[in-house]
Amino acid sequence: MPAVTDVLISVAQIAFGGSIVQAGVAYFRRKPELRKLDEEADSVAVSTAEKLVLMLRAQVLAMRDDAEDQAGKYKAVVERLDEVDRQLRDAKLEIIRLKYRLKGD
Amino acid sequence: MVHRRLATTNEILELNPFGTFVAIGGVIIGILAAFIGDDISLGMSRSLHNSANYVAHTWGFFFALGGVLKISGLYRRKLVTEIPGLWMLAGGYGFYAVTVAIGLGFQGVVAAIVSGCIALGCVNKAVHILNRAKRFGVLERGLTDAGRD
Repeated sequence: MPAVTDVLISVAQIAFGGSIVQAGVAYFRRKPELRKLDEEADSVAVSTAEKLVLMLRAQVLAMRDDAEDQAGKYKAVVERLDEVDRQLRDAKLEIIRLKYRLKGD
Repeated sequence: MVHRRLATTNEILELNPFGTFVAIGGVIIGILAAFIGDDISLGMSRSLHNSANYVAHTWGFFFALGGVLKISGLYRRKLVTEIPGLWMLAGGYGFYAVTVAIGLGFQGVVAAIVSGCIALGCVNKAVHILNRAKRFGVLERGLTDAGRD
């Protein structure tokens, strides 16, 4: 009857052989997938950085649009104020004119 | 548009210091064992008895080959080469762990634990990468099928 150590050594030898078989299996059966994964790993960091740059660029463009929109609104408010100011001046002149007319009467 | 920039040797070393030196160790030990035989390890001589010399030469050859494949695959960015290297290193370190523990008994426990842990690390990394490759393959096929529809 073999000793426990002999059995363990046999198991270790089989396992060592098994690891070489595993190496062959990995090479021959998983070759296309591993190659694709290589390509993916190469490009993933760069594409992530590229996505970040695109995202920041989109944000900058959105902020620029927003600023232009705000500037347009500001301009419209200023124009409206000028219009109200002009109307107010006209109204004042009309009041003065009416006052003189009443005094004249 | 995707620009490709390969990692430099220093960057790979920075990210894989343990993997690199475990493989270098495997190459050095493997070459010594392939040329010298069982005199390289007392634990192996004691545990393998008569077949120790032949086994040590074979073990050394595959161990060194595993280390070379691992380093080559890692630094040339080819998983197809790295994975077989990892399996061979795992087998080599694992086999050494068992023989040294049996051959030297309690005095070989430290060496056995160190090599056993390295072997487990190699297996873990190989399985992890293979699972990722499998998932990626499934995903790729799924996308292709979806594209056909």
